Amino acid sequence: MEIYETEEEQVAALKGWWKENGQATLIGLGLGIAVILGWNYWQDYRREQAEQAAGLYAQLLKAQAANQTESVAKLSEQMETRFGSSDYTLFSQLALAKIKVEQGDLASARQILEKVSATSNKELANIAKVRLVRLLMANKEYEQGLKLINDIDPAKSASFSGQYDELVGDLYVALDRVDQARTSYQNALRNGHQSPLLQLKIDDLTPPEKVESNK
Amino acid sequence: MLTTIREKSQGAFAWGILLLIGVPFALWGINNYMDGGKEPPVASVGDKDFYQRDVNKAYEQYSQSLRGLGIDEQTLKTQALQKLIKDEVLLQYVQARGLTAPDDSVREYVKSLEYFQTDGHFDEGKYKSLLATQRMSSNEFVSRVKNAMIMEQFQRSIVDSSFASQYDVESFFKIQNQQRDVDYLTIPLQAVAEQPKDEEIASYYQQHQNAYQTPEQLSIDYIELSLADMAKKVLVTDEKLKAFYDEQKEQYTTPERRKISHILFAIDDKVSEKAAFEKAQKAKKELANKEFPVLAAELSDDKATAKQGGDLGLFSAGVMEKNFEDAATALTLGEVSEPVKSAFGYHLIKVTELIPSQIKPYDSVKNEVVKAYQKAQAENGFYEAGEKLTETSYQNPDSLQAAADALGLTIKKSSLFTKDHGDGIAADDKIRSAAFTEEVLQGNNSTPIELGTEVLVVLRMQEHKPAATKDLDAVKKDIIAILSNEKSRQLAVEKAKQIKARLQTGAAIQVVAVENKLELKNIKGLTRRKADLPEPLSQAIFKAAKPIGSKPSVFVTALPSGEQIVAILGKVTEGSMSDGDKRQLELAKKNIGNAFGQTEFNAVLNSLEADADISVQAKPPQLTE
Repeated sequence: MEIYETEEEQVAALKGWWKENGQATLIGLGLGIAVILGWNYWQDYRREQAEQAAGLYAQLLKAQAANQTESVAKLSEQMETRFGSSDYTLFSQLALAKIKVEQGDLASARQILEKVSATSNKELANIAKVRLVRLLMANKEYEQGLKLINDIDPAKSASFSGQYDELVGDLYVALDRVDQARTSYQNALRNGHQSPLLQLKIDDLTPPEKVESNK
Repeated sequence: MLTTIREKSQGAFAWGILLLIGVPFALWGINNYMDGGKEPPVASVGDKDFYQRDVNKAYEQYSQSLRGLGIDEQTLKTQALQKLIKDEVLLQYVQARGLTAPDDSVREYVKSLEYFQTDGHFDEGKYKSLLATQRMSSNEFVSRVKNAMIMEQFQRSIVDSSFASQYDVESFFKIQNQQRDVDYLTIPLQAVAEQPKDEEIASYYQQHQNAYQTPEQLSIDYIELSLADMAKKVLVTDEKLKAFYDEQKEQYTTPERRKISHILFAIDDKVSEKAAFEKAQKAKKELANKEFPVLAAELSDDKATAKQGGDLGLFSAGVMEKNFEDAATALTLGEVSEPVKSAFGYHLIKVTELIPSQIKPYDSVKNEVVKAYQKAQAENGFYEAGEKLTETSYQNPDSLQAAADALGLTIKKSSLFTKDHGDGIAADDKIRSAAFTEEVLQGNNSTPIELGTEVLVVLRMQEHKPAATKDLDAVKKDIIAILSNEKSRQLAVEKAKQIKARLQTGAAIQVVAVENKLELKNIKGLTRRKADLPEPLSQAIFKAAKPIGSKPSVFVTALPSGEQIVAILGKVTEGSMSDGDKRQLELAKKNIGNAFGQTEFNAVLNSLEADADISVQAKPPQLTE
């Protein structure tokens, strides 16, 4: 570092430095401030967006509770155009699918659920798939149901495996493949999936006892 | 009553947070706030640490709703911690996914809570003071409520959007309403003539030593200082009694009985205050020609009472708003008030029954007065006597005699009792636990034990019988009974096996019944819901394998008495929806859909938990440190 003898020299050196670097410093400062403002703005914007989406969703829930099916359809459409990447769009689609089922329009419900099942949100994708299988079953498309479950990546559905096992059991029962159904139900039970109905289903499939041939 | 006019709904998560307010502060008191965060966390989820005090708090809330179900404390504590973790996992998830609840809906919700309301309106003062008792700031509370609402929103998104199709409902009823036909024989237990051998008895006795223990037993000497006994000794004079009676006149007065009815003209979004008032005035005029109950049924906006002619039942002070109360108490029998305003709107009030308050004359209550007077007088002496009892029994730890003499009490004796059970004075578990303390077992007087507020007891050990194994002779009879019973049970089991084998090879059950002199019973169309059979039997029937082709399905089941049942399952008829079920189809769809939704939501929670970064300290959490 250089040593300056007098104040004049120091001032002159500073001026020199400023002439050379002043502009860059100002630009840097300006950029810094812009980044901070931008970040804050971005945060505010995101919060606002989330609040708006939540508000819209609250309306949709209200409409759903009041059985206003058309409003639900409209609101979920709105949700998708305005907040397409938000989870609220997925929730709205799930609500809409239910309404379609209630109206007996299984085909539309199926389309919606297929779309939701493609989401990267692992939990909601699984939920959509579980419901899809139920729709397929209602439509007597048992083999398709089995295929859908068969194609699921087990690594991404571990916590849902009990439910899938029970569904596989139901599908096999529908196909009259009793032994496979029993095994699936027992897998469901082993996977910690417990429901009173599952126990009834297992009890209903008790295998016949092997009778000793002599006597 | 008036409160039925309002409606409210609260969800599980928000409710959990709000229990915070309901927990008495003293329980998880000041200490929990004072001790600093130097202790290691009990568990952590991501960046969030949970300390012992958090677990204690969670336990208090959690056990409030489950108390009295007989779940032991340790289990509850473990479950409380699990719930704490689950909730935190969910909270972090919904926050990361950018879910939120609009601030004004949070405020609205807080304001709608009855905790913070006076006369149906949000009361800022009440809100602040309640939060202050919990040492919680308004911001903190609101943000907790907000979090709870977001979690609830997420839960509803999954549960409420789940559905059951017609197919799902039909498959449910196929199983639920299934019918089964069954024929069965009951094989009774038959007395075994031959006595068990001595070696058998001895060996059973050796193998079941635990069952033949006599527990540790104690008997005690004790003295009892009782307020009631002291009161009996207080002398009374007529003069003093009369003075006491005059002083305590309120006690000897039957309160007024006032029954009221009302007609409500509600003020709401559609009806302005002025309109409601005018309606009330008009109605008041109509009363000249119409009976009050008739008018109430026609006009009252309090729908819950309108059908009963507006009847609100017996009036008691402090329930209604002040305006209402003042007007109701000023009325005479049969009179109808001018319109009275409350938070709900305008009321016309009528008194339909009025029995004025009455003072009972001295002579009719003299016995009560004597008792009350004696008790009041004795109370002063009781406290002093208690002090004396404590002092003398402590200074003379080897005997009760000194204390008994000092207070003019007699020493009484109990019979033998165990830690868990006793008669007489030992029926009280306070006495039993005091008797089995180290201090008393070493031969000292106990410290005074309070039974309620009016009895003090000091006790000492009289006889001590340690736990011991009962002699074989003393239990021989029991063992013989058990062994004989077991033998007859085995015979029945053996017989059931034989009969089962016969039936499986195709023998007709009628024939087998006659051969073995057993009664054949048959049931047709048994359903799961109709349970007039012994439970093990109906369970076994619905667990039995269905018959295939001509092969009968035979099974054996035991009744609790040891009797064996051999049964053949006949026809199994698939269930269908009954007419009643069909009428309730919508409800069934809703319930089954809801059950699906709950299962799905639980799977989501498990999935989130599996992915979350959770660590729990190995030691089970303790309630107090």
